[in-house]
Amino acid sequence: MNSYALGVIHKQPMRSAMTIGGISLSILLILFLFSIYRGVSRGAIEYIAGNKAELWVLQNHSTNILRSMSIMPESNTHPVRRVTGVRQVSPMLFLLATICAEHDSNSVTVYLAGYDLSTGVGAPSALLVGRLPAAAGEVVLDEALAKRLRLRLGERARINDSLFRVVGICSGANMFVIQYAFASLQDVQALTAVPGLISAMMVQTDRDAQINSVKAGIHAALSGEVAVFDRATFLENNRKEMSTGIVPLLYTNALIGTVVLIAVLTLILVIMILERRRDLAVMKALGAPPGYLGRIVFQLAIFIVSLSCGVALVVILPLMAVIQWISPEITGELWLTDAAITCTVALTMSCVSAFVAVRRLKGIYPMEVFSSTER
Amino acid sequence: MIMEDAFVVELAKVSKDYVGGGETTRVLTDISFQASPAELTLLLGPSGSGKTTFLSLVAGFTQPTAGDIRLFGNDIHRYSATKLAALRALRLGFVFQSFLLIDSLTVEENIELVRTFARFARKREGRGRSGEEIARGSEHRPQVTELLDRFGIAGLRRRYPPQLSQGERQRVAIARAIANDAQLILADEPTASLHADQGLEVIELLKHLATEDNRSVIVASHDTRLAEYATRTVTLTSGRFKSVRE
Repeated sequence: MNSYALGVIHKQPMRSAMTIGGISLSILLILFLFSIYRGVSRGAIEYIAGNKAELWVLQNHSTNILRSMSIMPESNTHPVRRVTGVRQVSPMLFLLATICAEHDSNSVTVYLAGYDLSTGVGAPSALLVGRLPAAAGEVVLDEALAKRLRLRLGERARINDSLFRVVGICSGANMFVIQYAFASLQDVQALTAVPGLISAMMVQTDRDAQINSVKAGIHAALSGEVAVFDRATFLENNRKEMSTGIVPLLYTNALIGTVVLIAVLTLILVIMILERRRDLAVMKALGAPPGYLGRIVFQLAIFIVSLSCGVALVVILPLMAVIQWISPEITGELWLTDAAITCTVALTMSCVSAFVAVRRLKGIYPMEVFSSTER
Repeated sequence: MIMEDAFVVELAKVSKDYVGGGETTRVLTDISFQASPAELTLLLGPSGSGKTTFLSLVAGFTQPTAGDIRLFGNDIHRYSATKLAALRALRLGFVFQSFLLIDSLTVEENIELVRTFARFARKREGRGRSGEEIARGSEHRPQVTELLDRFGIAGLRRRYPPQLSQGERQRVAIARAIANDAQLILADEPTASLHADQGLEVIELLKHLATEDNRSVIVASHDTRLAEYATRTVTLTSGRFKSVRE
């Protein structure tokens, strides 16, 4: 790197540190959003992905369980059980309920999943401690939810007006804005005013069954009043549903971070050029070759942003750990590809800033070296 | 290709106007001048007499309104900004009133900077020159250590300009001026920021560079005491040469 460019950084440590700090924050913001996006993406579909069902049956026109309504009578399970190729049908009821610790009035909303304890289909796939519900009045909480409510194994939680004992803590059931809790289908049905309702059916098929013919059979059995999805399609539906909610937010914030980065860096480079005008005029007078001064500006920009990327990458993991400790529901996942893309974009933007700033060099004339004396 | 000529600098009927605020001001009128190697020319004149404009024209910082300027036998009027920069990097040296060293570079780096520019210029010129010509162009170029020793500033090589005295700074500036083995040195009020004894030391150094190293040195100053060191003194008044003393 050019010794003059290094000198600019070295001679003004406070300003350099503030510049690198400011740009690091922009990069950190983008990395953090990426990691949240990845964490939410995984969290939102982890439950579905870890489920044993080959087919999901929902109310007609419902496409996912994240942001669509599906209600049907539990009696719908009977004709489905008779469809050729169907091995097992497990009804599920998803209910938005309020939950709090027994002796704490601070409640949060929970995505309560009631599943058939006899088949076990619909249970959380990753139990961290404890066991699955085995009887009425038992509940398994997502890890982040348990932390938010400060609930431990054996303690009691109030869901709507009913008390449940926490018998297990699971992972993979955190959807960022809301978490899952799992109880028996009967318990969850009891929380609704209308008996015998379910949200979905999870269907397991015979090993040699043709998925498409089973789907067609279920459709026919319920007179076309339901939507049937294979596992991959249902996963994709839920992923897409989640993305449409978070991706615009991510892009907007990433754009703001990028604009801040360009603005801060361009400003710093322009200030550097104005403050160092005398030095730059001297270099022109002494015969600096074309592009030499421009290269100094570009090297400065790239150096500052490279350091900022380094700082951001060093800080992001401890920062995410601290944030997750403060807000357990915020789970991030830093992907190497995301970090590489962010740093590449930041370095490209540093060149944009340098390009804008370099134009100022044209207004510096070698004759300025004589400006201290008369004409 | 750079032509060689007996004169390092030749100005023929050069005039220079500045235009500003809708008015044209003539700063130099019909200046004719020649400078040869091994000469120290003192350009004397009060403030506003046109000394700085004269130096700017010779350095190629600005173009004359009328007349011709030849450096080393070449009409620089036709030179592009790039070619002028290369010419300055390879053959011109500068000494300024306020030294104009770069504060964020060490003494050594300040001197090395000029050598770097010369290297770039040589590489550029080298495209059209033979290996022998390139080698000849660089054989006399002094090493930084050599320059530091010569000007008694070897102990200052790692220091930054703000850590130096005024006299030390001007020594570094002079070392920088010949780091590219410049054949023409333009000095703008080189003694004005110095004490009398330091000023004397500097003008003696400049004279030495002219007479012993066979360079042409042009010093612009309003200090008439420097005349005794000059090979030739030219007095400039209101943009015209008034007297020449050999």
